[in-house]
Amino acid sequence: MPWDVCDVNDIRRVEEDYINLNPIQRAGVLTSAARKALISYGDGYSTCDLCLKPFRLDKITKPPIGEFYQGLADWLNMDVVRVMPGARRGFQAVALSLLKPGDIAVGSVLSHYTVFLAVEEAGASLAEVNVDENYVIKPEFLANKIEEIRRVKGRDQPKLVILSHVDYLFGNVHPIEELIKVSKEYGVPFLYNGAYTVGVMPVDGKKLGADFIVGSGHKSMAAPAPTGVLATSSEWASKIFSTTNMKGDVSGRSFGIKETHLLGCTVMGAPLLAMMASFPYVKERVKRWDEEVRKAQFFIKEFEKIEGSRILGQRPHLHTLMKLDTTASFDKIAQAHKKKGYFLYHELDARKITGIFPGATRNFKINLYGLTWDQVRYVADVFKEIAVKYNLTLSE
Amino acid sequence: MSDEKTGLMFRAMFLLEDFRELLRETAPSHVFNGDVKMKAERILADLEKIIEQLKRLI
Repeated sequence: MPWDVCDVNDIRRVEEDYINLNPIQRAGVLTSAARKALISYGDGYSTCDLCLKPFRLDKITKPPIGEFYQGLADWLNMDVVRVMPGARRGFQAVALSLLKPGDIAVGSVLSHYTVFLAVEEAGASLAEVNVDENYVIKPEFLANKIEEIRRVKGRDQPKLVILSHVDYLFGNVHPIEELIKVSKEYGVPFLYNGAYTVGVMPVDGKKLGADFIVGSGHKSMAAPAPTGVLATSSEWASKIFSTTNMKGDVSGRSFGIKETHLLGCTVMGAPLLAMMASFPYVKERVKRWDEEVRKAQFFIKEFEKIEGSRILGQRPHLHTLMKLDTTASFDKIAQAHKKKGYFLYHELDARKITGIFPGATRNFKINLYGLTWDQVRYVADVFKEIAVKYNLTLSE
Repeated sequence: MSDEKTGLMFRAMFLLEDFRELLRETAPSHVFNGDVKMKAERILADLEKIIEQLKRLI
């Protein structure tokens, strides 16, 4: 065999042997319950042992998938939820439902590329709201953008606003309630991108006033890829989760209550069951979000003792995802080091810390979510130890 | 008796997943102290019992 992914000498053991700071991986680390579900439900259509009439994933009661869907909806304080193959498929389902060719949707300069692609697939275009000097989206910027679009494209545009509560570039927490309020004042439906919030911090859809909530299972819900959630209100559910009317012209077949934008049934088998297994733990962990932020702030305080090192973005920093600027510290060392920018990666690796982008020393993202206090202290100490090794000064 | 073997096999695999969780919690040192050490000992004791039962069934 040319490759063996189960070779025990070469198997992935990042979460066991290292502290993994990868910005997109931390909150997707599985619970032991999820790993047990993977073991049990790994076989193909394992969720479909008792798929009875009306033959749809969310109607299956054993395992209790329907109950899980309702539990997710209640937890997000929304009316209807579907598990999707990633947040991106949530963007796609909403974009295809709401946008027509020529329409405008609003995102931001911090929008994930999949937001652009979802809008593009619908034949529409995405207008970007800008950010302030701390890379934060201000409500007035959104209002100005909507006004600008209306002046050029007419008062029935834009047709959708898609903004992140927490962006993936800086981990900034944007004033989402005010942004949704602005969108509502203009009568534009709002898609709340919770890829870095749903599953790590409390999210209350009705309180926010969001029309759609999208979350990422593999980024923030201790679930395997590809998983995500799309939640909406009963007002929008029939449009987003519309069912098929198609009939075969020769066979005369029809397809019951299969949902067209979801291509029938969505995520099934091991990824879905693992997500279900993690859900009780996820519901509990969001209640401890403040503690996670305290750990992140502790790390920042220690990290910024290294001369020339700082975090980028808003202060105080309110998320475990953060972008570190080391242009005036580790990057200066990299210039003279024989390994160049790779020196930092190797120094961290030697101390069993991984997850930063290999070769990056100017700025790079890390995420501390879910680490114990001991592990956070260790990470802070290691950065300082490497700094001292290369004669950078530490302040008190 | 095959059902019993299957049940024991899953219990053994799940116990190993619980052990794996301890490795993750204590990375990178993998030093088991206090509560973690007690959990690890309990897991291994249960695993030993299951392996003994499995041995009797084959």
